[in-house]
Amino acid sequence: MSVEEALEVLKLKDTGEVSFSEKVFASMVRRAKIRFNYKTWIIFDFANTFFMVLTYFLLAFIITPEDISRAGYGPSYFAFALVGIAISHYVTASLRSLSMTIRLEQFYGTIESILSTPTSFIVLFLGDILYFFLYSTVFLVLILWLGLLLGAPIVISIETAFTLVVLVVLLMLSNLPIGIASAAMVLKFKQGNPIGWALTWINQFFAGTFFPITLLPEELRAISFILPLTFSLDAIRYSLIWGVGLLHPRILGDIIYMIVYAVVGYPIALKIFNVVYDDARRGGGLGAY
Amino acid sequence: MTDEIAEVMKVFYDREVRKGSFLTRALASLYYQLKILASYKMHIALEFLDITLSVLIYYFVGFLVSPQALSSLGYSPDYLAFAVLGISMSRYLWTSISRLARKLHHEISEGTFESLVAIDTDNFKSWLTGQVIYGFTWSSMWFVGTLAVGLFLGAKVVCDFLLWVQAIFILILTIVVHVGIGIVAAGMYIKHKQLETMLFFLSLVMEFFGGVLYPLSLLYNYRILYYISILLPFTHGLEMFRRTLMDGWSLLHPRMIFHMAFLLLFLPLIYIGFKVFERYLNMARKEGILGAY
Repeated sequence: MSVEEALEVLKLKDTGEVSFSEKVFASMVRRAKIRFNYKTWIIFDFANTFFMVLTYFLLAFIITPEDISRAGYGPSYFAFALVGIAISHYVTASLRSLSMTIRLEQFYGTIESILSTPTSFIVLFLGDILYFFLYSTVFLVLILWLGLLLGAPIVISIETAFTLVVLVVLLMLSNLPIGIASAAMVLKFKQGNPIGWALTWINQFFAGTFFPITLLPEELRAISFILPLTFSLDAIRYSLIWGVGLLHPRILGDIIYMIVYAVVGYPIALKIFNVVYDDARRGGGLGAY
Repeated sequence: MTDEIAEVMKVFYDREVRKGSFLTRALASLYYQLKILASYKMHIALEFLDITLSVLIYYFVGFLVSPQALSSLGYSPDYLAFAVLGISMSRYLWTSISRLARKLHHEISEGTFESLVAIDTDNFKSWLTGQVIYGFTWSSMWFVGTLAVGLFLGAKVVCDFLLWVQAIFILILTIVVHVGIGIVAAGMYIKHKQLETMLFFLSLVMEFFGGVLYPLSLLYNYRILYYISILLPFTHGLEMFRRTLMDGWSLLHPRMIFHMAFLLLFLPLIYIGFKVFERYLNMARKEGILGAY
């Protein structure tokens, strides 16, 4: 789909001429076309991840595996950290893609024009999320492949691959409410990056991206259990390290938590977003930068 | 506050006021940038949160690191101190290399670069100096914040006044060398544009090969990677900085002399940097592409 074709689809009113999914797809193409204009940034993103994997590969040589084993993740710190790095793009996608979209449109002064088109913001959001999901999936595959090359003891089979796909979708769905709430904050405070960074750091720290949460003092560990990422990470790690599927009790437990987060989180996040959005529209500050 | 900034900017563009020294104008440039920063209070608060959490991550990773393994590689067995010193210094690396080019990118994309250069060369240089100092003020806040959080969490560093002076000297020398690279890059940016990512990439490579989070000796098993790492000035700066504050080595230690000699080899970069920058600036002026984005 060319840029012109994508824009034509987005211009059409919801009269049945074009389906909802076609519009979402066009919106995804729009985001991909914009992002792929900045090829050097994409190369930088890959390089950054590549060096991160190498850093943790080297760091693993001086790490004793006892605490990792005690937390149930086997004897390899590299495998533990590798999974953390591999899914960090999904975390960024679910937590920051919406706020980044709003911030960019605010920055370029296009947010008001976008909102006045026949295409709803939800379509644009879904298109963006779909783009980031696919982009993160490319990263996931490359990182796991690089990890295997460097000798990470992870199990890739049909069962674990299928489990991974289901868990990654659940990860996105359960974390997205936080992303929606953060987008509302960007709309209100007009501060894109700091909120996104803070959310990413908080999640990475408390969910145990680089160390098992069993190391945290009990009071801090309580915060870990508020974050859906903790359960997503646990399930994905457990499946890839031990080669088990969706029906394993530990993974099933994590899945239930993620579903609960999604079910409870969406109405709250959407309510927050709607209140802030209506407030900004009424106050005329939607496009203010 | 806008009025206050306008008052400060008079130092640059108002013919009546434009009598201040180079330093006054550089400080005015720094002041106006700090004023802008101060208006983003939430940004500052979240930056401090970022500092705290980034140190806390390595505090907990430190529990996993084997002190014996770190000792066997020739370091003190405190991984928290190791990581904190690496993280705090790496921030300067990013600032030194990419701050100026980023600022130029900002001014060019906002369409204000031509007016800045049009003032006159001396004013432009003082503006540039102010921007560099601002970059380092911000990085220094990061540096001090990271060290403070690290020390609060129990990172063990030496408490000798002279060794701290030595560490700061090493830090400044490392920054100066890398600012040279940054000025060359900023000059090239005026003409070639789109270099920002390359600079980030360069900083990333230097950060990885410098061993910010792992001991360099681990690279002995991968000879090519090891040779690349010792060819980069940051590796030597960081190694000296760590050895000073973790192990109390003086500059007379044979290995410190080796690292210092290597770092000094790169010192002429600062002079070359200014020459290259001036050359590109004049070239862009003649070709009329100063404001081209």
